[in-house]
Amino acid sequence: MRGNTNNTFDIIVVGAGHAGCEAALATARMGLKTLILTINVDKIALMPCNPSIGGIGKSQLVREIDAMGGQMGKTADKTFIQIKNLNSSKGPAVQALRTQIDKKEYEIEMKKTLENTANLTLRQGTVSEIIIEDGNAVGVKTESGVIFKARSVVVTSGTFLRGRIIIGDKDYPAGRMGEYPAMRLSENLLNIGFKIDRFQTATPPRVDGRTVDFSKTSIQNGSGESLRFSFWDAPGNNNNIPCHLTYTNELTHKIIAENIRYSPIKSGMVDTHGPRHCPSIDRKVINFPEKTRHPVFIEPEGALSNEMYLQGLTTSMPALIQQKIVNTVDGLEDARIVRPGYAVEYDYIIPDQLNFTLESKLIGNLYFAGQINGTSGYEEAAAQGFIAGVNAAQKIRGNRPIIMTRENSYIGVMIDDLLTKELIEPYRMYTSRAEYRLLLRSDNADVRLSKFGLKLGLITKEQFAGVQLREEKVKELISFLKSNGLNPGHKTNQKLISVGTKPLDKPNTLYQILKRPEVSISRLMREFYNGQDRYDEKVFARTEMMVKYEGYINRQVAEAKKLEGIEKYIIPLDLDYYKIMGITYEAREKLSNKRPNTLGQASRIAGVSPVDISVLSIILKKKSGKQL
Amino acid sequence: MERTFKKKSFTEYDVVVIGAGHSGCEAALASAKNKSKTLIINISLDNVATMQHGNVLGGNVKGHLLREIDILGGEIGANTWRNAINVVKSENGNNEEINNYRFTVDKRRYSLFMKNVLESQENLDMRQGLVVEIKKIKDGFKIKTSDCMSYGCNAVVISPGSFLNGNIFWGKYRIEAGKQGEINSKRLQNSLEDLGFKFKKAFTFTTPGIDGKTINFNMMKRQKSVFRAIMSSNNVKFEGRLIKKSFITYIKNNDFGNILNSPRAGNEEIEKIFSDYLIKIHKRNNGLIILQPEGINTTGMYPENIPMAFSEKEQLKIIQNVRGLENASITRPGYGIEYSILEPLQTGINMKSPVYDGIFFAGIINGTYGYEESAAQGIIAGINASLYSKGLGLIDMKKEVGYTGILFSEISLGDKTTPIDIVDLKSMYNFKYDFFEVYKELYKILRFIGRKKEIENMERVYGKYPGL
Repeated sequence: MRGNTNNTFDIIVVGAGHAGCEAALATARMGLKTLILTINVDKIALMPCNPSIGGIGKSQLVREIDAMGGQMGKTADKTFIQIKNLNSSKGPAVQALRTQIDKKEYEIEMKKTLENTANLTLRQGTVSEIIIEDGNAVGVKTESGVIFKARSVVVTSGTFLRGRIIIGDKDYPAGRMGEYPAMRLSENLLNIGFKIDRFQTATPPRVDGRTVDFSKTSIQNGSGESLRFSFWDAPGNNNNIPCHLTYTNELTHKIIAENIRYSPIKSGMVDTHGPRHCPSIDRKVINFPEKTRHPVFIEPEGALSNEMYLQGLTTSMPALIQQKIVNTVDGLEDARIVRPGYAVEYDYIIPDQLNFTLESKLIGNLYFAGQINGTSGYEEAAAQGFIAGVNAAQKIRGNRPIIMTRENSYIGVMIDDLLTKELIEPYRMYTSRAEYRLLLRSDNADVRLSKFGLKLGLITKEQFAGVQLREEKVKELISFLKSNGLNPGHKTNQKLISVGTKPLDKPNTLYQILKRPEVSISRLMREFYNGQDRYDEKVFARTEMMVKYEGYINRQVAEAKKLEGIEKYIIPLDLDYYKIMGITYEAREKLSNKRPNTLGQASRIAGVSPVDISVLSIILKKKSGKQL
Repeated sequence: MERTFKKKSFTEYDVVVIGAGHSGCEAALASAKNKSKTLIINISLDNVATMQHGNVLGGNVKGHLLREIDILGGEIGANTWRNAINVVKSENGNNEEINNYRFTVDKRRYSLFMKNVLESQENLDMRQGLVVEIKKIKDGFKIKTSDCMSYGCNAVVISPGSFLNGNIFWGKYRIEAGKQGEINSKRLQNSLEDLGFKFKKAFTFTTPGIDGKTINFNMMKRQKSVFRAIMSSNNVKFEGRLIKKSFITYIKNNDFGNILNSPRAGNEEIEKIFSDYLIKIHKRNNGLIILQPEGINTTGMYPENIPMAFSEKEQLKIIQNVRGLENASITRPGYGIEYSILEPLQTGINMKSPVYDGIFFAGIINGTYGYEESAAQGIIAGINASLYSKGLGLIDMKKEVGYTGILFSEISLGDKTTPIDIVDLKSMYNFKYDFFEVYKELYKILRFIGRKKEIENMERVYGKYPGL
């Protein structure tokens, strides 16, 4: 391969974290000459916090990225030390896959993937400036003075922008512990005209596994089946290393309460917001004084490492107090902290300055993705990275962008929320954010989204055909179930009881029988129809889902259809809201600030009421003569 | 129910080791194996035993050092064999009875495995932290970190590597760092100066990393690999696995004048040091460049022996002047590192400060250069720190004790105008290596500290010598 010595590329990705890696891999695989720049090429795709990928809400994101041809799911499958199905007894909308990851293996594997992808160049450099010409990004400059040119720039700088680490009352500049931050890029973005604010995120202490008394904890095993994130036949592994669960107690809470004045939240050291759904233990104790215990998960950071991550004990209290707190927890009485927890405060750009493609409204060909947009979480970052990357590529190619919507994906929910809502804390995905979550399930991400992957060239025709074939089989199986039934007879009823359900008193289709919550389709088919192995596990799983949740699914589909019109109604970006009579002043202000692309998006902006929307829709109809 | 929790002294140790580089790791392991309660502190626990300069260990002279450390029970040898991805027989001009090999290790795995060894060592605790102060107290020292933790100890081993007021630079660009991307350590030096120690500046330089996909290997010669190498006394067998090859090539116009005349920025002192360094290396090698692979899972390669601190543009010009690298691109530029080392005569032959009992220095802070040199100092500093904290007599490394001996002699007596490199020392001292003498001395040391296992290993690998 010829080395690139003239420093010109199609796309430059700034930062090689989870967002950066997805963006760069996508664009390179789409055939665009891509450069990925990072402060340190030995720190690629780091997981500075939880050694885990997936979980409630996040698992859906990973699956959606994978369905379109992204990387995260595949790397997670290769490097997990445990994989687990969550909420398997609850409804399909909240089921999720969660993996514990060997952090170092993940980094090594992702770097290997980057290095072995054609069209992709990895370089070390600290970007200090975006080069702009005529309102468009045309390249970047590094702190050491090197200039790289490109047609598009994707910024994915994570927590490095003017990063500041805080432990107790001590603070110093750092992007992560031990690593120096990116100081100049923030200033540059401010000078360009972007609105910037600050958030903080924190991480719990790690303890020496040799000093944990596991006998006082309860073991948390993986699911033990051969589960995978990836829909495609990528290699995985079969590791199943356990985690452990323990709890804080009143003594823990007492110590925290006694020392609360040292907590950076109270002391004023940190006045920025942290993620509400990943609160520090200090905050939990302040906010929930009536709870007598909080769970603490003890998670290994790697297959070979002795370091244990204490999920649930996030804190940035002074190190000595952290040690006291840890030693009150059951099983951790003698646990020694190896790495103290800390908070990191960093700049982010307010995401309503972006379009749905994640291109900034202010500067053309400049995209932002990941924690720099005010999100928290590796999966959230990766999803944005993927979308920003493919859209940058599509724009260069002159193709239509990939727009994710609230009805077609969690990624769409996230992007819509980021562009529309007021962010008062780092944004994290959870299932209740998605009003159509029954339609946006983990198991059907490939059905919903692989067509985008195909369009982009990241999913092959064969892979896509495989998805369609499975859908055909599901349809076939459903019609089989509807047109075949069982009659109440002694033998039949005996079999039904053995499958764990009540006997029949009148004839019933298989479809009806499958609707019973306790009936499993594979057992039903095995019991009554031998040789039904033309259907694999995935087909069975989807069919069972469709049958059992038919009613709910139909309802959500109907709701989605009702709002389709208003969702898709495009608002011209230059509409002067101040000239519209009949909408409140607050609405005019909010709409002018956010500049929503669609009426649907406008309806979700805080401060815009349904009446305002009605008025807007009439105005817009009049303007365009279109029927709504 | 009233819950009480046991008061555990997490902050009292026999020995504290500052820095988990090659010397720090050896010191901590040696101290812990000697049954002293030991703590090792590093700025980031993700950066244990990292390699800033190349990933080749051993060789003609340094191979002996490796062996000596290995006999004493050090880890560097075992970790090298464990993570070697290529082995080459070194040019052995001296006809010495023991062969030496050059081992290319997977950088990443070397670091991960070393960390693992430390984590699993009894009596040894690890801690992430930045040391900002050392205070002398009764019976020992108080070590303070930037997150306000305070550790008491009887003896401290100081091995901060290139982090002490480290600054890295290339072309006109300069930034405070101990290594690329990593924050440096500033307040520790102030604290040591308060104790009366004096420092001066030292420099070293690294080579750029090359994107392996842009190298034309057809224009290079593959180095002949070896499939059977001498066994470590630590019982880690080297199966002669060959996973990644290294290559031999040449700078095209064998004239360094060209390179040295190209415009560089930076002050004159650095320029002089840099050019002297480059010339010296090339006198040894005649324009020969060896390209080494960085690891199993990466395509990165780097050229040994052409360190650079030029601007990135200049670096590319030089690299593309090497056969086979005409179209190469640089993944990460080489850079110079300026850092603080001790003025001469502040470290004794036993690695202890002549002024403060209980303070030991190990590694490049003593003005040396090289991983093996650091590790040798580390293991002795660790053993002696442990002996000191037990109130026992220390080991003095006599000049006869092989290369380790010469090295320590130079450290304690030398004037440190240039970085101490064992290869230079060998020619300086015109040393005739007598393995039997070395064996005797190391055996005595092992007897003194009561290391039965290491003695058994030694006898197993090298044979029992009569009369010992």
